[in-house]
Amino acid sequence: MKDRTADRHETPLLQGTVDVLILKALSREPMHGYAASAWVRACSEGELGIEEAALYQALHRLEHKGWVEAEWGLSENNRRAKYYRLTGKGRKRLVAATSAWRRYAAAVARVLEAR
Amino acid sequence: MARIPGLRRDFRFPWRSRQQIDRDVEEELELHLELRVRELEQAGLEPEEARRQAIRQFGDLGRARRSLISLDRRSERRHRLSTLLEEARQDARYALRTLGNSVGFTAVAVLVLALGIGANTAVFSVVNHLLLRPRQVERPEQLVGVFGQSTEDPTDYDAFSYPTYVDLREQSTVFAQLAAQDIGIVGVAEGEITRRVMAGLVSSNFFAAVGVPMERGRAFTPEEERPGNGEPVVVLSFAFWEKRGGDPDLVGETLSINGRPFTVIGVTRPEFSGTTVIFSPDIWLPLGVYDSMVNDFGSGRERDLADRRARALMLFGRLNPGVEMTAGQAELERLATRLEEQYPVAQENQTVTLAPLPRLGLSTRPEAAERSGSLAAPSLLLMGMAGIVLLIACLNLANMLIARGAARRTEMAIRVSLGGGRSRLLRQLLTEGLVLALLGGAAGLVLAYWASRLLINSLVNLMPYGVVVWDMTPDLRVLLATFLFCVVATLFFAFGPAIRLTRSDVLLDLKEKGGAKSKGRQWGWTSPRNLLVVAQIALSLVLLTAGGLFLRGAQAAGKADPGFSLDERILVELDPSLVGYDEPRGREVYSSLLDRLQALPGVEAVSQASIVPFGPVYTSRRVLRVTQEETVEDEGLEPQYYRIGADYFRTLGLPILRGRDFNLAEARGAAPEAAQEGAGALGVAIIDEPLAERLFPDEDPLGQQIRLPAGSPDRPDRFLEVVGLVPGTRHDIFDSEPVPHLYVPFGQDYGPGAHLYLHLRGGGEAAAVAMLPTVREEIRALDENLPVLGLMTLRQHRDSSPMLWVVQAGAKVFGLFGGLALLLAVVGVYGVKAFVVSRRTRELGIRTALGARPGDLVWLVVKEGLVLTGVGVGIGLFLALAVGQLLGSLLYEVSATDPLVLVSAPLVLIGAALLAAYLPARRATRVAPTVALRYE
Repeated sequence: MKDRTADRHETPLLQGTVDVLILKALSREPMHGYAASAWVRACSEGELGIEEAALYQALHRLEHKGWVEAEWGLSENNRRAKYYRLTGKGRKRLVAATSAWRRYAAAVARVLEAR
Repeated sequence: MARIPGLRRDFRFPWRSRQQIDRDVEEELELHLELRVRELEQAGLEPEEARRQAIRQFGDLGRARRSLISLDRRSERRHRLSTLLEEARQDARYALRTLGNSVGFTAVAVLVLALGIGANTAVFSVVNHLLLRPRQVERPEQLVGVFGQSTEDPTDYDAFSYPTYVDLREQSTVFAQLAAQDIGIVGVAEGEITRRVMAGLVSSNFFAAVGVPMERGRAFTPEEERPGNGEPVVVLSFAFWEKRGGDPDLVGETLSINGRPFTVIGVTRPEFSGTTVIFSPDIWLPLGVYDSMVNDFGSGRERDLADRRARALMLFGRLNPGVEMTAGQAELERLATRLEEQYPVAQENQTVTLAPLPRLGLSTRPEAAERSGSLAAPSLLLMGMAGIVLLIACLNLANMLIARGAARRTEMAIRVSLGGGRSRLLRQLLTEGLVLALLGGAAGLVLAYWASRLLINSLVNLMPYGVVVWDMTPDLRVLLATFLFCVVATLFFAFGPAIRLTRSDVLLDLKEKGGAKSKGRQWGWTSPRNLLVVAQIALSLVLLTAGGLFLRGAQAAGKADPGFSLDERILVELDPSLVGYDEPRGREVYSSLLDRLQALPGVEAVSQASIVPFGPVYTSRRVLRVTQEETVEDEGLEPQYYRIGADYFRTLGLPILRGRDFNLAEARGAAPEAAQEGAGALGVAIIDEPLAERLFPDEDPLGQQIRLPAGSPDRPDRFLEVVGLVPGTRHDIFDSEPVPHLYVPFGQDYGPGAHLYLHLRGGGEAAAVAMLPTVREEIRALDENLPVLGLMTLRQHRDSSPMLWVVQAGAKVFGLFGGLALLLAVVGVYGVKAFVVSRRTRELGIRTALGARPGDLVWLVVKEGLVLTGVGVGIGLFLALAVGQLLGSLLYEVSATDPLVLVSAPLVLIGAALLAAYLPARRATRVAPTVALRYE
């Protein structure tokens, strides 16, 4: 990851964060892997970049767990593309993970702001 | 038909192959790179540079690809499995619903399967008990039998003396426990009466060696084991304790055994049955009371247990963990050699050998060396017969399914056209079959449990002593076997019809409205349905014939006599030693009793004998001519050894062919020198013709001398002069001809247990039965304490013989199998005929309209049934003859080609099959032609 921070200026991600970000991305609409990675990068204004190899592994892992399901469709350039969609189980997971993440971030912030 | 399985699958992703998964991953990653390259190009990079950077930015592409593929393969496997399970669940639910919709079919099918599977489960659970099931003790695999074997003749086994047992126990390192036991019959007082019970005489570590703790109280102490100690303590079996009311306070109470008070010190656990698996002693006594308790049916035990020459005990051990049989064997052989050096006389040529512990009884020889054949052959035969019953049931059911399938063609066609794949439909039909089989299997389990309980109970009532520890509750083994029977049956009965029903030409039937007219192949009489019926009839005839042969055997056995008439004769069994009477007192009892009974009105003659034909006890002795040297070849001549009173032959109605009967002095032991015969005096004997032929082939047996070897160098042999010759008789109900007998007078050789015979003057069986209370009264009048162990007519004695039970129970089982087969075959024929007639209603209606008489139509239908039956019977007779050859050795005095059976079995089958064909045919003729023509 280090060699990429040089040309992308991205913050390294904590373990498990990738899953939440992907679930969030897919909660808007079904999308393929490239679109999900682009959306995360765009939303975080380039600050959060998911390593692409890790992103695909996370997608397939989430599919295996049943949090997302995949369907083949056509991409914008008329190619066969694998679209991922959030399942009911995945939506529940997203809600739980979001609130956990918020609590965690708030706690870390409180500690760092303590005098 | 709200939901049809097999449709949903097509709305899901189809299953992906490995290659497909690889391609999908590759395609997904390639698309990503392309999109990235395009983005970079738009940002102004050269195409080649853009691609390089896209790949670099992606991370480790090769590793990602591999990990994605393996992840997807795992997902795919899980998905397939859950789909299969889900579909199986759907299939099972659908099957239950379908079967629930046709209750009649389901009921008949389950019944047929229950009979077929139940027969197999019942036979298997018996075989399981006899041969397979491990003993219900901890670590049963550690238990081994320990046998004394001759180094001269390896087929010669013997028991151990107590001192040798102690030497082995103390000096060998092989065993965690080495225990000793013997069996004896003792009398236990129960209020006024005395009952005979089987007692195990055991070493103090016996219970620990078997490895089942006590239910109550304690086991024996080493002090109580010491021979001659005589401490009167007893452990009760759980069953015996329950029979006595199951009172916890019974421990500590006294029990009168052979007239002496014994303190109850413990009760065994319910599952404890010693080292055997079916019968078990009622009570257990310590070896310390051995000398005062054991009277071993008069085989002449003359030494105390503490004597090294008295080989009385059977041993078994629990091997130390990690000790192999072969290693243990080597050590025991070294030990035996040392013992032989130490005790050259008592231990001459004796070695020790390890072998599996006999399951079915106590024996001095390993089960593999047992002379009576193993149970494996009859077990296999029974399983084979049960297998045929199941096969017939399967053929039957296959037929029912084919007929039912015809009615389901529309359903199948709809499902095929809606996209249910053939394999999915096949699976659905097989699931339906399995559900049927499992329902039948469950019912079969209940049936088997019930039937085997019935069988065991009939045996329990016959056993004179001993506890039956046969627990018929199915164990895991039986459940698994039953499940296996269900699966195999499913494959047999459901597979063929399912294949047929899902054939692609079934599709055409959708256009044909229910498929009343099949456009399929024209089969003629060789249609699968008819072939199934022929096979059923043939197999049924095999079982029916086998059943018939066994029933004929039982009939013959039920009429068997030992060589003299059983009519008007009464048998009394007594044993004065059970109330503690010694020899002089016993002799006195017998003499006065015989006199009293002789004086009864209506009594023609009375006598006594130590053992009775068809009884449970055998006593045999080796006999040699005086001049003959002992050689190994003589081993075979061991005649039945009867100690009899005067008038024995007259009482039984046997003539004395030559010479004379024993006189009163000889018979009752009044003459002093006769009683002293053991010291070397010449005694007297009567032999029968079979023995005379063997001993004195071309000579006059009268006046000849015979020798009874004592079998031990320090005791004198007995010498007897033959004074009489009598006709041969049978001893065992299985003896095919008279066997050699040696009769000696009771006066020369006392044994406490004896049977009294009374011969009545006319009046038949009824008079004998009526006489029984008088006899009992007479015995009581003489001596209130004397236990009457048996009192019945000779005919009743024969009918209650356990050996007769074996023949008759076998006949019942085989007869039942035959009956089941007949029933199934008739159901099969009826089913097919009924079905054929229903499909030909229209044709029959037209024939009626054209003027055919009802009789013609009935004949038309029955004729076809007759052809099928004829072919089946022909094949069946051929098979039955072959099976009869296999049965030959198991049959009781009936030829495998018994004409009565070979004629009547086919006739019964043909008659039943004709009736089964006639009924549907007659129904067809009752349909009015107009109705028949409008049918469809």
